[in-house]
Amino acid sequence: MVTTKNKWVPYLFLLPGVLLFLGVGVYSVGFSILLSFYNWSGIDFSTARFEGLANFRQFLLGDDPIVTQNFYKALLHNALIAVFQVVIVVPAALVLAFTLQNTKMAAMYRTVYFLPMIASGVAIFYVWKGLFEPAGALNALFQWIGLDFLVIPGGMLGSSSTSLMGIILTTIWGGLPGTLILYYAGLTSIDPTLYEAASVDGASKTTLIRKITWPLLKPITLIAVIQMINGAFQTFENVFIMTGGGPGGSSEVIGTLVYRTAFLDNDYGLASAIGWVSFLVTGVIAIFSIRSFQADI
Amino acid sequence: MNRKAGCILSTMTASALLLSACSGGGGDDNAAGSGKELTMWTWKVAYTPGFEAAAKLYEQKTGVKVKIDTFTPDDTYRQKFQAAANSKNLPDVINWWATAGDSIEGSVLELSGEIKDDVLGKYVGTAMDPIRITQTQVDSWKTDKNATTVQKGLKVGEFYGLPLDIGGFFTFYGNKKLLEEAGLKAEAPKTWEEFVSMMEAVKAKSGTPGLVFGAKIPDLWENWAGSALSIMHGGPQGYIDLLERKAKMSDPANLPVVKAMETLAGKDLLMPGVLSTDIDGADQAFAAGKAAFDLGGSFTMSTLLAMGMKPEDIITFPVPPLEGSKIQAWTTDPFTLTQLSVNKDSKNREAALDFITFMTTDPEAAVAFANGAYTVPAVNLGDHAKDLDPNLKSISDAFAKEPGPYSEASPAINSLRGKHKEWEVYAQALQSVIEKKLTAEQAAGKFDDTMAKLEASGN
Repeated sequence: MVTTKNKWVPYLFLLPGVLLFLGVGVYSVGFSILLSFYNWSGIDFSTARFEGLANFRQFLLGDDPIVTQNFYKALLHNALIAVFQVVIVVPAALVLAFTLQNTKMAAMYRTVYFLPMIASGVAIFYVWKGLFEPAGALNALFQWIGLDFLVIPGGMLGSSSTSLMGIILTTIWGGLPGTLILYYAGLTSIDPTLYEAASVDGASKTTLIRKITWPLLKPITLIAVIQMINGAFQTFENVFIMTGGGPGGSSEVIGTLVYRTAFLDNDYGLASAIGWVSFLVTGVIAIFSIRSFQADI
Repeated sequence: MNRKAGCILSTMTASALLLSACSGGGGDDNAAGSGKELTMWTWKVAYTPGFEAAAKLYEQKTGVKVKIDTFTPDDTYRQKFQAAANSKNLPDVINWWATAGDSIEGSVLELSGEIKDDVLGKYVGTAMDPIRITQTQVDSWKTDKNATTVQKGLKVGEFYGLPLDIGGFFTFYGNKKLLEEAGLKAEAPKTWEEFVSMMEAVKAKSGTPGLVFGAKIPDLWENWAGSALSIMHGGPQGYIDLLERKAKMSDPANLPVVKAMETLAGKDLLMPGVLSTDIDGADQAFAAGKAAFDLGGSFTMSTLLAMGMKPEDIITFPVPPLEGSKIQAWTTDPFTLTQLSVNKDSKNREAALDFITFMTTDPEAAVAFANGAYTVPAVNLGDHAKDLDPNLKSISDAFAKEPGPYSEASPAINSLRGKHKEWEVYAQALQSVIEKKLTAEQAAGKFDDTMAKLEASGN
């Protein structure tokens, strides 16, 4: 029973979490916004120089042509990753969720499908890197099945034509389990009586999916799409490990550009500004997705 | 558990979290308190045995212990340094890249007033060059709108560290066995063209690719080989003109250097997958016999030996000149690789200063460090040179004793190559040349066009 004497106790329990949120979350986000208006090398903020919107002008309006070119190129790569992920992962996850729901070996399939979620990203991306190497498994497979024209002599990551494709493949692989969980949960939560009633009325299997399953899964699809777009614009780990953004900037993404600008070029202001613009772009796309789905739901 | 105990526990948890969030490394607190222990950070794992050996000598001499912590890789170390500098939690001594204007200057001691000529005179001729701030750098930062406040505040003649070790890039390593199997003498080629023909011979005989290097890093070729080819071909002033935007890459004086890479790519002499290969990967590939030659620096030998190669399996030689070059042989002009600096807020400032002076100038300490770290010390060893590891001594003996062409160009390289972003574009264009997607002329044209565009926009 909560009495006047001990009513503050629950708040005391919340205190560590609140302090952590204020100290780590709010402070770092606020500081990062502030930084985007400064020229700062990362040490001793008293040496930071207020630059107004100069950092934003540098990469948005072409004040620095190279940074501008790098930014838009990276943004395009992030957008491509998002598009490929949505277009491939949504149908694939849906099909796999159906399979999971209707197979007797669901436990085994679940383990296989969800492996990317439990495996360490860094270790796995090194494995992917090995698979894509000139003498790696992918080229060996193409040779073995007689598709020699698909063999990439320099390896998928060593060619500017295919390096982004390699990144997209790993992003799809990594993004599939999350969407699969959502769809699997969505499918299991659909009331079976809806299907029974429709079947009694003579609905075919296709009609059941079109008229019952898909409409009920639309809110989940919206969440999945937003999650994927968000994830695609935060892509970093796989690019950093596998290609470093190369060759020739062909797989550069906003994440690696921000990293390079902040930690290698010591330009924290510009890096923050790039990060925030990327965040706004992601937000705009998410809002657009919500609106277009809401009109349909 | 009763309510009172619960309250105490939660208060303690909150306090512990707060304390852990606010507290720092703590190593320097110990040093500050006793004055008998110094703390030092480095990022070079391979250097740690060397530091420990020299620190042991220092302890025997002074009774002051030096505690060495290693944080690797490079990026992590930089972030660790920045975080510690912001929270005033740096150790007493910091090992850093030998450079000026890298923005650590606000956190470490300026030494021009502390270290006099009697100490500075002990280093090899050019050891202080990358550390001491030059007029060119000051002028460059003054006019650079993107320069940091720290850079704009630096003055000519200041220096923030003492040179620890020297080395050089521009070194090719050859697999003796592969060369001999191809019917070649395991000797250094005299020209670039001869070098290319050696690679062709190996490839024709064994199918082994000619060259591997960490081409994943876009500017590595220029830093480790391209600039030497340029300096030899057009002389140091020719390269300085290019850096100062007084010449074009497509000029007949500069284009042959771009074509050198085009030749390697056109003849398929580079190891497949070279564009996704980093420095360590390149050394591993060479040590595994996957390429006849590896591009590195004086520091690469220790890596190759650690990977199981033997000195007698390897030939080393500097970047050979293109035919018709103004300079016909590259002298490996050593430059300072790393420096030791003192935390400006250190409570053990005097001891830290004494330690870095000892580490960098005492011949016995330098030899102990060098043999443990497998790097050439920046101090003139005199008679103590005989105590160096034999392989290390041969590397050291191969270094030029007087400032050479690289030293002449290095002030411009240090201040302009990072600032003028046409070099970033050029580095990526060279990767496209490796992929055979651009010709040498197109890559040079990209450099020239970018240079013109950047100049026009005031960058």
